[in-house]
Amino acid sequence: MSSVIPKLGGGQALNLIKLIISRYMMRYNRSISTEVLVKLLFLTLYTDTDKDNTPRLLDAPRARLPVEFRIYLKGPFLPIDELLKKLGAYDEGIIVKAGDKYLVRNSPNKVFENAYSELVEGGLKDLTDYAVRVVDEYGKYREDSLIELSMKILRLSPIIKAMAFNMSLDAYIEARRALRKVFESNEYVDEEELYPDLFRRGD
Amino acid sequence: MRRSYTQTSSGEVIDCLVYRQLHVFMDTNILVNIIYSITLSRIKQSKPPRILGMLENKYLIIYTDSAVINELINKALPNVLNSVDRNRHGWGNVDVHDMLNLCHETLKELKKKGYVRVIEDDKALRKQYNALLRRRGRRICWRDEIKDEIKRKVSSESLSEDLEVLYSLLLAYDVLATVPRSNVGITRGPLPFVTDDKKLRDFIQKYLVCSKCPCSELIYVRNYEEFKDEIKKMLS
Repeated sequence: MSSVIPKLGGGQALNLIKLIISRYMMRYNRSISTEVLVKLLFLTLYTDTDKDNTPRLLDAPRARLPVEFRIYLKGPFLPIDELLKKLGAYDEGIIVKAGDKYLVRNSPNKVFENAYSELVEGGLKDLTDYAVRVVDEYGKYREDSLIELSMKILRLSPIIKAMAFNMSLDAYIEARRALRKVFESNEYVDEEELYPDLFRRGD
Repeated sequence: MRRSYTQTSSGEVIDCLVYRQLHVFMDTNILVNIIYSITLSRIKQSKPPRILGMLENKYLIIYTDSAVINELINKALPNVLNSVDRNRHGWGNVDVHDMLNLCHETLKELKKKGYVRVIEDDKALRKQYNALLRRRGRRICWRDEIKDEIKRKVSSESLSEDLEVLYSLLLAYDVLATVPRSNVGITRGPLPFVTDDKKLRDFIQKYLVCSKCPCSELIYVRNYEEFKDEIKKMLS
């Protein structure tokens, strides 16, 4: 099933980021923080929304960026500054970094229109439309709420987050799939149920 | 596990380690039970314990330390074999000494297959570990002053026998839960530690998970049942 996941080229990845930043500026009239940008990218690439608008994790991402997501203390993490450097964004000069925030230098509407049409021409209409929906729906969330939401989507309780710390997000999703099979299988028995005298509660 | 290399603007090549598996640091008291239950399922030719399935698909790695392994072989394993109800567990007809050997074989096999890894010996972690040995400034928790403080505290709490395991935990923190990064120094992540030793857990909650400790609130301790429950929740 992972055979059809497109890997975004440098230009496409850059356009997707431009699209999110410019749309955010159009809607909320302010620059976007690193954390919010990363979480909106995560929601765009890794989730879908059910009818009641609850986001749920996709089995496989809609597309992959040239740099992979990892799991950090605040959930999904992407070294966005490194990625932008790698993509030559700062040389191009449309995206500007100001402290911890990002903005587009030219009119956000123009940047948005260009990024949108280039992405659609590249055959990424579904992804692009979903990105717009994500910005419109979740861009209004506070940073903390977005962190909490992404942890919930990924089922990252404190101990699971510790087990997955600095793990590739794609590998984490694969791991969940593989472990689910082990837990559903009746080829195995739960050792703590079989030998309660050994695996006794530590309290 | 995989390494990726990133070149910073100053030309320095940073070596970033990204895990491909879930990882957990386990205490002797858990590891010994896992090894025993796997060995038992083989003797009885019954269904293997689920934890083996989790390890076999290579999405979970149990990390441990040479102190834990030593304690396991010399103390914990003979203790378990001599204290369980052999008939009830279904190996009344097997000699304890033979069982001990079989358990050793299981441990060897788990290590050989990379399911259980010793922090100091693991190839993938070698660079991290060497950096910690060579550069004291790279250490967060595994530092002499913290070790000394713990040494003082364990004797007042009569936990001296756990000193080595606690040192291992500090080392495990620095090896598994910290990431050196080019422009932001060292990122401190959380370390999962699974133990069924209530006293040790209390000690860690009281002294290691304190506000003064550099890894403050970043060592998460769970007992085995909680660990399994959390994994089940993750899969829901």
